[in-house]
Amino acid sequence: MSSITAKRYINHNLIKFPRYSYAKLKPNTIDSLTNKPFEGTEMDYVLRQFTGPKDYKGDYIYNKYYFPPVNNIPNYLHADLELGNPLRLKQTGEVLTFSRPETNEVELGSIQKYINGSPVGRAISNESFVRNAYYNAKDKETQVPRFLQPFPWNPYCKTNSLLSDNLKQAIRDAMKTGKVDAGFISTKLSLKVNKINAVNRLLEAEEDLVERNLIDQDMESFAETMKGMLPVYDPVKTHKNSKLDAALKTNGRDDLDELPAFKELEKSKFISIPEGNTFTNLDAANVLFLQPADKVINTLKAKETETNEDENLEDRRFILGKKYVTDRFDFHFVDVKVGEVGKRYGTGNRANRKDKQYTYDMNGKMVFL
Amino acid sequence: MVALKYRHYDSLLRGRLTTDNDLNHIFNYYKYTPDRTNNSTIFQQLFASKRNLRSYHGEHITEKQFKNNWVPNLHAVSKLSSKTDTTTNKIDIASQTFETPYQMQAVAFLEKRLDVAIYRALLAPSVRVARTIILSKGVTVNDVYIRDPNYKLKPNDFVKCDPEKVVRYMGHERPLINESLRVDALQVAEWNEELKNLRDDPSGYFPQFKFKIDGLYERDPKRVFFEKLFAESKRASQKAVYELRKNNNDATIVAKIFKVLKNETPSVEAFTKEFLNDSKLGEELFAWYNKFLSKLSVEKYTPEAPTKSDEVKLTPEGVSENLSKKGETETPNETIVQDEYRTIAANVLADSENADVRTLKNNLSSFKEKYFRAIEKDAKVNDVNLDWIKTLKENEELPEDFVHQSYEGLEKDDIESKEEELKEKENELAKHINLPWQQGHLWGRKNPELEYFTPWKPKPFLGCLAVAPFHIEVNFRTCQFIYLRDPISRPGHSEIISPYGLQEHKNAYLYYKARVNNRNYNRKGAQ
Repeated sequence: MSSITAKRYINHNLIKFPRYSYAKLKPNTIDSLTNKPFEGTEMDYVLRQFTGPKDYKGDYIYNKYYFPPVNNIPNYLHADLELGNPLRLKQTGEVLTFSRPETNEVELGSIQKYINGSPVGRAISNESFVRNAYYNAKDKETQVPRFLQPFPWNPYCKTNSLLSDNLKQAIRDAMKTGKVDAGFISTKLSLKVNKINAVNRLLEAEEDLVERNLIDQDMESFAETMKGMLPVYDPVKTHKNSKLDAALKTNGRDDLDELPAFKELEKSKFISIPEGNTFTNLDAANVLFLQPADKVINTLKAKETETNEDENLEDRRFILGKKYVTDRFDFHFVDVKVGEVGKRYGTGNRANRKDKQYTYDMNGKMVFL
Repeated sequence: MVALKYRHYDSLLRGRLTTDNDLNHIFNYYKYTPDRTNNSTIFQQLFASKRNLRSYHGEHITEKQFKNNWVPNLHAVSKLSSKTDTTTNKIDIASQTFETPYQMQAVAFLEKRLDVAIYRALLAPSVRVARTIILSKGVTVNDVYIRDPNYKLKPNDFVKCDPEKVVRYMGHERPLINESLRVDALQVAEWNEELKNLRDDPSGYFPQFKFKIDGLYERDPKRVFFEKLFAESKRASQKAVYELRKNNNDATIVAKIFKVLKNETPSVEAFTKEFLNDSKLGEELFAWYNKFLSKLSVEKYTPEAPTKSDEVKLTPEGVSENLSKKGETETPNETIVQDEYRTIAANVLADSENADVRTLKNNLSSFKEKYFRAIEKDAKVNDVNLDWIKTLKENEELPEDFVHQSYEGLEKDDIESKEEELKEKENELAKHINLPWQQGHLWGRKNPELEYFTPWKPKPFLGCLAVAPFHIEVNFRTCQFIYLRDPISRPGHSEIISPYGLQEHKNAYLYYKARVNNRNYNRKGAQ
């Protein structure tokens, strides 16, 4: 905990108290476990209301976020949907409250807002209410489903889906034979070529480890739990819940029609022309600063002929100049700038500059150029 | 594990959103709401956004390092043929136009860093832990050990992490021996009591026991062990029910009806007695009797002389009838009598010219479903397969070493010396543990040399901040990943993972745009 000694420096506007309702720490509360006054700040008191009590193994068993989910549907924090109460009885999904953490006892309870003594809104007595809202909600701005959105305040961020094991294996098998091209698979599955090659390389490395028996039981259970808490993309399988299925079907795959775009170019792509005017391809080329096709073809042809001539030059590594009639000798010296050729004496190496170039050698050590 | 200088990192009062998975940080995420900026100036707003953003993006690097690497170019993609591509002015209200979050790209340069990429690939619980994995020589890039957390990844770089370190940091921490002795004493006492109750009153205590098991984590060894047993017993009972359904066809039902008609005076009670004591079925059959069954004469369909064959038919059709009177011994006479009714039923069903028989046939299909439901209900009550209880054994009584001795109030050195004393005895103590799901080792210390909870158990609150990245392809089984490309933004989506909204990113972008003079960027120009 941060220790704030001088009270005059506290900006109460910046202290992040929860906005949902919670039980406040009263003076002279006595902890029933130790029989001593409650040690800790008000925030600790609120934190214990969030976690719930521990069981004898030291787990917060009533907190629904404590253990990761196993059904491939992520369980992200959603305090707004459940009115700030994350404690559940796992078997039935009943809501529990832990309003007096010093006693270490939970109570069954429903959450409801009261204004002037009369209840307002729907009471949440069961997890199913919350889960329905979590599964079905979508953001207004971006249409991202709530259960794929990890942070409630950023609708532009969502989680990707992992490719299912069967799909990965199918890609690996197809690539292993060498008959199928990665481009062909990418158009079939609408995944980028880059990704398909990556899947192939990763599985190839995995096969090597499996052969050498280097994957132990702990690694397997780690992989299982990690896969269990993230959504899975499989074009063949369908989820029982049709709404979830629709969201999951579109999430995992890439959009192959995307073009790179820059903010500066966004407006200059469009031009308005009076209706009577003719607008040919030559005009379009002028607008976009492009040359017409005839010129482009001619320059390309010229380049081709140039490259054909120059091909052997790289092998010889030196250039033969033309000998003029007036030349007296076969070899002669030409003036060049120092620095372009060779090293100029007196130049500084600027060893302390910020943008110094460096690489990594075979041992992974950083080496300055 | 943070230096004293950064103790605000864990602060609950400040409530910073960080790249960390510990309890305080999770709670900060849970109670987070944006700052109130109603009364603040524009500079205050920009600075507040920048300050918030820096707690998540590159929290572990200094402001100077951050500014030296900050680049103002913003990469994005747009769809080839989308509505967003053709217009910037939102005239058409019906069409969905998503804003492209360009400003989120301002922190994209951090995602190239090796430590951030390992955190994004979910192979470390926080960026700071990813740094320690790198610095302890646990990461290779393209089969070369890299010990620089600032290493900039390029597309298609193959990164391999040391699985032992990854599994350690993503797992629950290893308990002290003293702690696991305490837990084992409680576990053994609990199990012995449960087993005693199961033996004394199997079917009575079983629902309570199953309720207990359902409360555990799905991958808990105890739950995994018992769910396998439950599944096997359930499969056995399902198989029995399936066979019952299979054997109860139209002919047996008709045979039963005619048995009542012939032997007794037809009434509701007589029918209910025959059909599993279900009063609804009896009432329905009696209604049939009043309508049309009374018109069918039993004598017409009875065979003239019951054929006494040597081969006594022990067909499965008899099973259903025997089920209701289990305790009674089966006599050969009964089978012959049943045989008689079966022939009657066959004769009835064959007589398609009779109108009453046809109505009987039509009604049978709906009746059959109700009858099956009654059978299943009956079978479930009688046949909860609990044979597995006999195979389980109690744990022996534990020695005195398992009595808990609290370490409270002791200093660190004393605790270490006590743990070392216990460590010498650990193997002997472990032999006393003989639970069905944990044999020959203390709780959480199957392999005590490893520094994490064994068999592996996930770190608390692991699922809350687990976001699968778009720009990285991971293989969790081998703890390896490939960096596909730099993250980009598209209409309505940003591949940069950030807890803060677009407005905060816009403010922070404005702040840095005016203040950063990146010489490296200025020399090379836009990339």
